[in-house]
Amino acid sequence: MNSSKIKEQGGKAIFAGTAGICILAVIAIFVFIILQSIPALSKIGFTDFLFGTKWNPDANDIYANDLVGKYGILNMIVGTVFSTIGALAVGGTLGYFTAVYLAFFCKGKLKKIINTMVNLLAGIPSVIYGFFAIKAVMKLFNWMSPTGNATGLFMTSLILGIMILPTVTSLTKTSLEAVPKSYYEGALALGATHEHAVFKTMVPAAKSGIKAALILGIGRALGETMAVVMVAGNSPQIPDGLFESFRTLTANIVLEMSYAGEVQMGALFSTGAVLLVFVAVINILMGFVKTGGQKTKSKKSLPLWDKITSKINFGKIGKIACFVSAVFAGIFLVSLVVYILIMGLPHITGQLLFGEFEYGGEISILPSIVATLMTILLSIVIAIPLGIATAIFLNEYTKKGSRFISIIRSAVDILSGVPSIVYGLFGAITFVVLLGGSYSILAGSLTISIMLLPTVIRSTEESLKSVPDSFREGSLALGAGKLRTIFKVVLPSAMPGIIAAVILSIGRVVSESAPFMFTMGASIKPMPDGYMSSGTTLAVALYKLSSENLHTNEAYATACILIVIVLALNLLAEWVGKKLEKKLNGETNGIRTKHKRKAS
Amino acid sequence: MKKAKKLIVALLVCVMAFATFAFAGCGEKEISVITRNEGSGTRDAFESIVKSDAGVKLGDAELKDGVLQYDSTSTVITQVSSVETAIGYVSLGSVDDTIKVLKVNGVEATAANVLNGTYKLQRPFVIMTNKTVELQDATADFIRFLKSTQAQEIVAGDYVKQEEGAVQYTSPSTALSGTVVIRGSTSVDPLMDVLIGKYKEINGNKVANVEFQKDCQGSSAGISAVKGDTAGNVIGLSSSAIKDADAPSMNYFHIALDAIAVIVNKNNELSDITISQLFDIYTGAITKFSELSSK
Repeated sequence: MNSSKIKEQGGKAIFAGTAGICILAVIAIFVFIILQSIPALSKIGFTDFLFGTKWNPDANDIYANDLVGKYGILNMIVGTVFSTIGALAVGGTLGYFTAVYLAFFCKGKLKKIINTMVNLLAGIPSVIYGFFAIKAVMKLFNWMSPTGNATGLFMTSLILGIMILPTVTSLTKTSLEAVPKSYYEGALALGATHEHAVFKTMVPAAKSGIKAALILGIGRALGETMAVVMVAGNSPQIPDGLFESFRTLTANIVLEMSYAGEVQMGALFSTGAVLLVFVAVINILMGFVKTGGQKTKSKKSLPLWDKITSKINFGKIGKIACFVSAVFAGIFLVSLVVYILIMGLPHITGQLLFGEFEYGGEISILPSIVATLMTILLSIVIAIPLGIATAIFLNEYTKKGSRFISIIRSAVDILSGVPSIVYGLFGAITFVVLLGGSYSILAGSLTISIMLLPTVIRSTEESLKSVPDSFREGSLALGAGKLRTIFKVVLPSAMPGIIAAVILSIGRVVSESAPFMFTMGASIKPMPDGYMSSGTTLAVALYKLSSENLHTNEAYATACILIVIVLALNLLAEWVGKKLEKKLNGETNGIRTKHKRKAS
Repeated sequence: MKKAKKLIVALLVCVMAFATFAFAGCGEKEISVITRNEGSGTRDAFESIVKSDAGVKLGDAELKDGVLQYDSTSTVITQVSSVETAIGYVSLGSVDDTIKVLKVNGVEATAANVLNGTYKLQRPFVIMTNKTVELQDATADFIRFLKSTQAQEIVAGDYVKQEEGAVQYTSPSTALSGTVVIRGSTSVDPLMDVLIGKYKEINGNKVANVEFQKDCQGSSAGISAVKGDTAGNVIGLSSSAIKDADAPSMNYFHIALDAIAVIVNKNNELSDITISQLFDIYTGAITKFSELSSK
């Protein structure tokens, strides 16, 4: 008896401990980044740094001497804000209407197809977005720009907008679908048309969820790096037109990190710290939306505005907007995939995929494939158990509203909001240093593992929530302990969510590049011979292959392979989801019949 | 309501934006000036060679506002190939047929013109090691190879040879082991790949246990890596001449010369440009290509 109690307590302690790791990770990220930036901030001067409008660093600046370079990031803060607003204008609008379209205006096969498309958009590596943007999309818009070059604020907003669309769409859709059906029926019963019921009843009811979706979209836009570097123009000035070049905070880090001198490096870490402040602000905003959103907002609108809008049949316009948005997203995706496939497929050769890597010989991405697989394996082994345990702790062991829980939850939220390039910075000063100072697959895997935690936790928790309490009660009533209940009853039922978490994580590892460049290395290399050798994942390899313009075909081929992997992962996720759902239904029936038998 | 509001605002913005574009669409466009990111050896070399008529280096002058900065050669080439009014510069070795290379001061960018010095926009590829630490055997041997005639044969493939002092390389008498760390210029990176390949081919089993750790993220990164070398196994690559401030702390030699090609869109009628015109374009004194022909 006693030993089982010890086991139970021990189990709980372990789950709590893993949950604590999330808090620890957040603290570590903030502390390390801020510690690295303090010397630079005090040398440069806090206000000069934040409000200085000249960024002209000198790599030879050291803390002991007077500064030669200028380190003011105001222009980049403004640039980041501008591009985020632009992204929200594009992606927020499109994402919102696409979600409404998915939730209310389309059914059956079409719905499924659009759903898959949105998921696919979410999975495409940002390097490919950037690649596609400068190779194809900008040609469409060059004529509009006064310099004939479309890159700058406009292109960045467009590309970032498409990139945040999946986030906005899927979250908005979820909250729309959570609105009770009776609202809709009530509206219809009162004589409203379908469009009216949707836009006047359902949408307002889902307001706080939609706001949350937009805020998460902002977070995504803020932290995006690799695509932005390719299309923003990167001159550190405030853009005074849609086609003016500008630099974002994230781009600043990735552009200068590799060669930065002492003070410059500190200034880049300070840039990271500013990004963290943005993340914190977004999380606080999110908190407001979650708690007070629905209560405090009363409907206020200008009488004149009402007059105008009452004349317009905006239900119809809304419906059209929905359709147009969904189609636009679809067209973008299809053209991206088709373009990459056309350019890449002919160049996929045996040598490229399986050839032996030789210095100066023909390109082989086999080492990158292996490095990617190694990274996937290790990060899954680390992140999945930790994430599952944390989710179990959050869902099974704690009461709602406990302080510890809310701290863990905000830690998870912050972790998911931290820009990937900041993870890269963090990995570079912690794991890389700890492991002896040189790039290694191990350091990269550890870095990405922390990034994966929030995804795993959320996805697992969702599925734990969906396990009916009666299962737990039944198991406990039969005399099983809590641990046993969790492992034998709850977890098996939550399997679909866990599998989804694994697939999502794999997708994330495949598509990320910013966190790897300063932890794993960025040159195409021979086969890694262990976790301590450096390496490049496929996404980084793509970036590198294209960079000197000597292996463009191979870069297209690599992009092609990445797209195929993302596509396959998406299909796999769907297939597994379906299979498990079926199996699960069977199983739960099984449990139910067992229960019945016992009862009788 | 809110949605309708949003919709109308969006429509207005679209209309206004298109009106602006319609205006912007007429008339001759401004030059879209593209440079590399700071820390790039290519940019460093470009800015130290390009001078105004008065002799002011571009590096000491201020670039015009809004010059696009990209961190890779391919982004520069891609943009120039798609933007009719763009101008940029890249290593001659990276040039492909999607863009047009300009003559500089009337001289074509060719290996011969680089070697005889008539093509002005040229820079050395520099190999650097730390002066204060003793090099490990494997690293020292590889350096010996880099200085050899065999290495120069490879250089001659795509770049301009630097034959001064090159001697025949012979394999070491005993097998070597250890790690050679290579850091620095992305422009030298492709050449280095071939050189490492050749080195391995010549030495076979003798260097089977020598591991090359090559990670190239820019010339400046190479210089700082060499300065920070305590183990004696770091080789730095720079695609720009070593500055006086850095010279005392390192041993270095030029392995090749490279031309920096000034590139424009294929539809651009321009075929020739002068150094001082380049200076004016990058500092903003010239904003349209038509101003070039009239001057």
